[in-house]
Amino acid sequence: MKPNNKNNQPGGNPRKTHGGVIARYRWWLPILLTGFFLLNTLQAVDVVASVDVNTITTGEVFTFKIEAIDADESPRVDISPLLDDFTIVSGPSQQTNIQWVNGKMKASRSLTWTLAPNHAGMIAIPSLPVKVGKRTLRTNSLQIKVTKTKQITKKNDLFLVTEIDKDEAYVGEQITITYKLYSRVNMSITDIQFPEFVGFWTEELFVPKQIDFRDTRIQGVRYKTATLYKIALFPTKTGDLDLSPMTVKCQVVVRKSRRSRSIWDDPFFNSVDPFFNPFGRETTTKILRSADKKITVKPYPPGQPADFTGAVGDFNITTTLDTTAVKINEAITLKVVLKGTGNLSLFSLPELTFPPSLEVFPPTSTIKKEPFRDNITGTITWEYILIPRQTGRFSIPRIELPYFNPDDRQWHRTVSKPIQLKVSPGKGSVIATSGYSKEEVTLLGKDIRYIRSQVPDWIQKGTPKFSTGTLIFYSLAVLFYFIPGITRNVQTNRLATAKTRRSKKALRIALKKLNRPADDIFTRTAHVIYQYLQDKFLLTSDKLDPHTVSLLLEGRLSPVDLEDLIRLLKTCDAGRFAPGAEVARETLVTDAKTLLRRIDKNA
Amino acid sequence: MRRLILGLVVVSSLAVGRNARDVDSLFIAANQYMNREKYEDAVRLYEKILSQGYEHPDLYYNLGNGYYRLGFLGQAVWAYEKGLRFRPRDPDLRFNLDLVNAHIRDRIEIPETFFLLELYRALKSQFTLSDLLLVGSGLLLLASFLFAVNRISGNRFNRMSKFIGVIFVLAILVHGVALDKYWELSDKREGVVVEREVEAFSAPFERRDAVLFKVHEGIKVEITQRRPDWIEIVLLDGKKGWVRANSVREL
Repeated sequence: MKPNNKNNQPGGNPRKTHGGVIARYRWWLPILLTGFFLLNTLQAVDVVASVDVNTITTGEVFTFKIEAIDADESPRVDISPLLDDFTIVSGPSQQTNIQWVNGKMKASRSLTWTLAPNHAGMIAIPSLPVKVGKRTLRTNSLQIKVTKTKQITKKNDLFLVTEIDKDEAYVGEQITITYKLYSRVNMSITDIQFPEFVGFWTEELFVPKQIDFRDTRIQGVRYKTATLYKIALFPTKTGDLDLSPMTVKCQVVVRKSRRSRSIWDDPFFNSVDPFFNPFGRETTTKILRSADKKITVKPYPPGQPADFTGAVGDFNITTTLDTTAVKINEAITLKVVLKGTGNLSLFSLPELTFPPSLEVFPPTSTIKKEPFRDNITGTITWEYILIPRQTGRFSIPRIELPYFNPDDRQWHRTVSKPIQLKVSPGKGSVIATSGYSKEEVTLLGKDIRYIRSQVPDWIQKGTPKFSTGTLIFYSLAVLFYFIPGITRNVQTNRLATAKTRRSKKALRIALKKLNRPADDIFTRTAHVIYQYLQDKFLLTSDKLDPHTVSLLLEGRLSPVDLEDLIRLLKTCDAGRFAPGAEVARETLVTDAKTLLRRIDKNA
Repeated sequence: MRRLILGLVVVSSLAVGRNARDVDSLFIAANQYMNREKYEDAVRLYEKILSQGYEHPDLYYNLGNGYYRLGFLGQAVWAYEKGLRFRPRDPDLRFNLDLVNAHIRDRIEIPETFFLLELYRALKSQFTLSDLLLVGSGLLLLASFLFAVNRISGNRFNRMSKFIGVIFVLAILVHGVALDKYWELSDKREGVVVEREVEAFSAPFERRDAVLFKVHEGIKVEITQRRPDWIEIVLLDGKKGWVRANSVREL
């Protein structure tokens, strides 16, 4: 019965299953047994929590196992309720066991942690909800008895000391923390969990590659001591900041207390075999934790300068130029060196303003840091390449860095000296292939011109891009091009049609003249008629009388018209030369009009 | 019906008038903001005028000043360039643009071309299309006027006809330049980089290993292709790449 039980024991340390454990914890076996019988019969519980030992001392560790039997998936569990009482040393690790029993497969999946108790006493491991697949099951609760450190290692034999140089600091002030191990026993460190510092910027000062112990005496007691870790902390915010503890897991060599041998205490399989360990020694795992510490980070005292960029410590800034007399377009190097102790690389240099005639290339910075007496000390060097683009004397302005010195709690300011630079004209033509041209350099120092405040005539977007003046110009140009042609045509036409136009106009002119009142009607009428005849029939002769008229117009006028015309002309002549012919005076003008109209119509 | 049309005409003309007056008051208010150094508000109002469809070289000039004061050099370059499209020989616009260009980070070296070509380009950039058309039409008018005088007076001045020929050829040349300018305006799309730093990719999508080059704000680029959200730009020295469309403001 018993061996069977032993095999079923969950989470059993294989090393100890061979007897030691059973022998030691014989008293709780019945409980476990009944528990397993219950489990087997009910089949309702298929998640089991177990521990490998249930009586330990405060410096020891135990294995906590949650096993899901017949599960297809790994169980998921949140063991945070345990963390008040225990510290996780390692884990969780997953295991899967598959067994074939009577042709049936049995799979069990388990999670294992190595835990260390935080205090002594009876500690209950409560029932935990475990998720297997979609089902949520609860584990059985367990009790574990933690006794105070046994006589194996006295409390004063092995301990960790946290040394803090100050527990109040300003933001950015260095705090040095040293973790030291004191020991009077033979031990070896298997694992160190370094603390995490939230709210600090850290700079490791000392991490041993190999732990060197030195002898020291505390109140007359000899100890071996070793520095495990040394770190510089720079708080980045104000308030109370907690330092998480450092955990060291070590194997302590203890003299094994002689125990009664039982049948299970098989010397052959016992790993701490007396045969291989003739001095009767055994190691136990012991977890050392440093004490919890708290640091109060204070805000700065009043008077913080506006250009403060976060420098805390003690600094000195210097600037050097490699030469103070240079030719135009030749590169020079400006070195800005910041030396000091404090939170180097946690702040930036205030922006430098160079004269616009200097072309500045982005600086390269190098940081050299070294802990000098545990204080972060170092040099930051910025190298600016400057190329003067104008001749003359220039001043590279001073550089100021405000900083806070936590030692005297005062605001300070380190200022470099301004440097005078003389730029002389170089040889040959000045061609600035890259960077600023001469005009641009002169422009850089100037400001833009002032705005226009007059409300303009707005232009609607999309209006055509030419003015009406242009259109007028085009049309005029076309016009002028055609004008000579037009005028010539008109002129030639007029010349060609002058005579016909004259003959056409003749009647109109004649009638107009006749209508005018005149002193001597006969003379005027005769003159008008002659004029008409000249115009109408294009007669070239200047001196016309009734005889020449009848000669010239014979055939061109009907005989009746010609006869009437001659008679009328003769009447005029008669009236002109013989003042007796008053009778004809009344009808002369009307007769002349009707006659001329008739002639014009018939001709 | 006639009444209705008349009414519509009156209403629309009123609307235009009111709109223009609104724009005037916006402009005045913006100028006051500029004087009180409230550049954000000033720029906002100037942009509002633009969004209402009105523009003027003076408006672009003031907008450029506002952007310069706010430190948006790319936007300032854009505004000045835009103003210079209307008045290429405006000394203030030219001065301020040169000043802003002196402040921008990228200097692109333009590959050297034949000097006559450069001269031609410089000359062309000094005139707007309407300037060129005005000059061209003026020359044409002069030529045709002299031609007319010469003809009417009966070809008496033999030297005159040669002179007319020269002017006519000149007019044709100016029109040729105007045509070139017109093509440039209608075909060539330009823009100014308005974001502080823009990465140009080899294709219109963001891939870290496809970054071809970086440009900084204020650089004038030519836009050759468009995709939604992406445009292909060509720098003055011929580098080509795709950038996000909103990082370049089109001229």
